[in-house]
Amino acid sequence: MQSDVHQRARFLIEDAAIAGLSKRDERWLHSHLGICGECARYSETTAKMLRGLRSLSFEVDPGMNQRVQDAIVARAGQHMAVGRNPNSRGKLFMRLWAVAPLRPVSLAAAILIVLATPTLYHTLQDRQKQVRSNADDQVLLESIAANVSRGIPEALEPLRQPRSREAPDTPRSDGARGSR
Amino acid sequence: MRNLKGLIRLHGCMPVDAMPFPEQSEGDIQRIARGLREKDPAFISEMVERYQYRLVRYLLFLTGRRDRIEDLVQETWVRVLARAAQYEGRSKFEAWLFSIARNLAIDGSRQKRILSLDDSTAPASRGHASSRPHSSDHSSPFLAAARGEDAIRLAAALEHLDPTYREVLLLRFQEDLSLQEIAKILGAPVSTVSSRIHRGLGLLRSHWAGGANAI
Repeated sequence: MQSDVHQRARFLIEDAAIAGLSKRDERWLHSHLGICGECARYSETTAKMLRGLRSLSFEVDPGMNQRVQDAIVARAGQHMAVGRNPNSRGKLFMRLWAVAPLRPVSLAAAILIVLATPTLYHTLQDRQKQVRSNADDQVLLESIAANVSRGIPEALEPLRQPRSREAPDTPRSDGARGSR
Repeated sequence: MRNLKGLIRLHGCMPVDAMPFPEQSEGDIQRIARGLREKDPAFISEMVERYQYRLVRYLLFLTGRRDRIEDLVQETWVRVLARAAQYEGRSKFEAWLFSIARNLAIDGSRQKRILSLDDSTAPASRGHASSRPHSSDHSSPFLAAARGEDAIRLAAALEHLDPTYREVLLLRFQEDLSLQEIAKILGAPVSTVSSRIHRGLGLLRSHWAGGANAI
């Protein structure tokens, strides 16, 4: 029980520096430190430690400071240059908007774009449909044309021959037939 | 009671160069947010000048070494510039700055770990001498920053402390950030931050006392 009291006191000593204490805890700690030399020393050590922590003073190379600044400013300059380019990331509208006399023009242009967008969209879609349909028709016609045989079947070949008065066993030359 | 008051009103007995930096007003925060959005080089330069020392100190506490600090500082500012639009002025600028620096330092240490693994397998096996870039600067930044016997003992104690504890001790007692602000930087609950500071103080005390006994 006794050690719990000291543990609580030490926790509160640190908590006073970390997050602050309630009035009640502060009063309790005050009275405890008045009667407990060990916890009072603990409190003093903590204060000394934190003072030491705050007293650490680091040296920063001024050359490094300058180098870092130069690099950053150069990078910032690049960003600014990109921002100034009117073609970059569609910032033209924002730049127009920034100029007060041009605001009505910018607004009118924006409204016009918004109103025209559906009409343009549908027109473009219709045109695309038309083009696609034409292309389909073309493909169909080509495939029909490819499948239709323009050659005369062999069975019909005799029909194309004019009736010959020659004797049937008279030999005929292929060349003669081909020439007809 | 004298000791308790000493703890609560610790600022009253601090050396001038270690006094906390002036609080940022709401207007100041908004001015920073606006200046960052505009990416004005003169403003950025002013910010570097204003926050450089604190950024370097934070990174020294986090990494415990001086080598790579310049690279990290530069990378941090470049990232600040790249993400300038994300700072909306809802929190202190330094808290946002430190969280960016923290992520970069953690990424860097991960990469270094991978590189050191590669170093230990490849060149050593072939009998080459290791030529790590960070071997050039092993001097303690804490000892260099200490003035007086107590501060030197404390610096030696800090040297032994885990970076996670050093970081919260710095943020609370040097930067004077609230537990909520520290929690935001760390991405951890306030209760975790609080217990980490308690634990850090305990460890610092034990190393400090050990140093005193050694002296």
